[in-house]
Amino acid sequence: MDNLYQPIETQVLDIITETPTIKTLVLKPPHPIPFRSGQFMQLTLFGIGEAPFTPSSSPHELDTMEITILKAGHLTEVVHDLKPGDRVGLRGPFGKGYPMKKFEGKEILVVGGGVGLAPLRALLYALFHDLNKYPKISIKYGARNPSELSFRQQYEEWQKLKNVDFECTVDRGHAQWEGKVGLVTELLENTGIDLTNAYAVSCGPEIMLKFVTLKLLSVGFKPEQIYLSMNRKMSCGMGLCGRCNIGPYYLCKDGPDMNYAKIQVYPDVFG
Amino acid sequence: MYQISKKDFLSGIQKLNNDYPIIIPTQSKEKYYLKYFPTESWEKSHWLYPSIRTPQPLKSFYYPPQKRVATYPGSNNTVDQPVPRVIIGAKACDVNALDIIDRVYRNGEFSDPDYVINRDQNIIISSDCLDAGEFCACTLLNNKPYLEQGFDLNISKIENDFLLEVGSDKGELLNQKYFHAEKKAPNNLVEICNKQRQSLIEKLSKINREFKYYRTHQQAIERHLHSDEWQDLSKTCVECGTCTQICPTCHCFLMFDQPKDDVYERLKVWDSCFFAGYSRMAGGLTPRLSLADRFKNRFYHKFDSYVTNFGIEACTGCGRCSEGCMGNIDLRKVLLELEKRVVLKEIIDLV
Repeated sequence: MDNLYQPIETQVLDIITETPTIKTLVLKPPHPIPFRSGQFMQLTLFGIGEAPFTPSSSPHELDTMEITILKAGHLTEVVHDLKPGDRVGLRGPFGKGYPMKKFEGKEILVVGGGVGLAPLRALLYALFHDLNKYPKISIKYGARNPSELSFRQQYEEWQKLKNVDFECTVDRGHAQWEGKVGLVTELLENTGIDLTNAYAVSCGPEIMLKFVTLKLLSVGFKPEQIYLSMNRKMSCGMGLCGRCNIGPYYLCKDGPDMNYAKIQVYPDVFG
Repeated sequence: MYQISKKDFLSGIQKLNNDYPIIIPTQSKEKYYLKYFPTESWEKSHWLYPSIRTPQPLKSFYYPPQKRVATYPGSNNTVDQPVPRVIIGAKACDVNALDIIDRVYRNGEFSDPDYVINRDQNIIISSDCLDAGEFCACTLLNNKPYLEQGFDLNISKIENDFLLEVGSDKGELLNQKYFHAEKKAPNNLVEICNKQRQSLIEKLSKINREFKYYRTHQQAIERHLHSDEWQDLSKTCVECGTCTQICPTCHCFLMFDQPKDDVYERLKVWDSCFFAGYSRMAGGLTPRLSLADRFKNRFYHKFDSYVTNFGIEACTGCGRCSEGCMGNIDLRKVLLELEKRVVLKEIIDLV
């Protein structure tokens, strides 16, 4: 029987500094690790431990795997000190991933907050890969300030794609910032999305997910049309260790992207 | 069902012990312990027939409190492989608990390799309960003080004899090789056995007579998902985690890594959903910040979501949690209170 607790040793090929607090690890696994967008990996820092992260690279390009990580605690501080050539461990992929079949033929509203754009980028790559299957892809992104916008050099390229639009905002701007200032929920007022034929997908901090959900509901989305990337502490990633539940659902095996209709009745959805 | 004398049964165990390490209850002061004996040291004089379950749950022989599950970097062959063991005298509440845990650790998309090996290779020689403790509540939780399945061999004590029941192919082989029981139990002994079992069930319902439930625990808990009652119900809880450690079905764990010589090892340790750090994330966000929320989650998990996911409650009524609780929280009372307060709510709603 395979030992599923054993990490696969993986080399850090490169490290991209996205923002002052966010870095992307470019990893070269010993063999390709196929995954679906939205599925996550358990990343081991030698001697430190593990934490779950969703790849930010395309599920169609498996030579390397990219994982984009915000410095938020003990383990991620060690991630930020990694250098190219260092070794880390990987387990996975785990989780269900986004319901791509269900998304076909639908307009997709993608709402990201901060480092939450990272897992969504894997979804975007998957959507872009079959662009003609989706009548519209609308990306709304918010960050705390202009320097915290991740993947900035890609926005222009995304906007040029057929039926794709991109809009971003920052909570607080500065003198040179000419873009929008305000919370990401403000971008959800007039999306032009056909509510009868759409799904909204969101990833970001829990407090942002809460207000994005409330806003989406208020502009006419139904709970069934909303997918949220939920955050819970995980240890095993396989539905065994018991801690990542929302109601009867275990985010590691039933999520981490959950249909809001399924989880809305549970008291601790938004912490 | 065979009849076997105590003497023959004990020499069977002695022979078994030449081939396997055995786990057998032995007396330690007035309490029984399921104690692990190295192969050489078990003697017939250690034998006793435990009349009720041991204080220690059986689960530690299937997933120990701490276990190395990986060593890295390097190959995965360095993990300690469990050896097959024979467990003698286990009670229904403990063996039924394994069936409950199977649904998570063994039957899902991913399984715990160690647990599966232990489940496949450990041998269970269970025994009927002959008595019931103050907190025993198996019958209240739809279980019985004896087993009808899930064992390899089961023994029922009738005066100075044993009835030996074979519960699996493995059990059949064991009997042939070690116990040689061939004599079919006479009807009068089987009848005594059945009477014994029945009168214990009656004793259990007497012990638990103040606890009568009129709806499922799931229904009661569903009505309390958003209520404040949990604060009241958990007010004497000191978050020691005892209930989760001695519960035969609790199976939450945490993995942590540490240096080991010139490599690193990954340890899997029992965790408790009562601890504040259980679900605390980087950045400090804790979905179940208050003790009442964590208390609710434990009952919700055992009696609601487990039923939703697996069609069975994650409790066998062993009563250890109630017995071991420093805050005198009795699981039976909590379930009763939940139900009472639902009824109260419904009346208020009506008015």
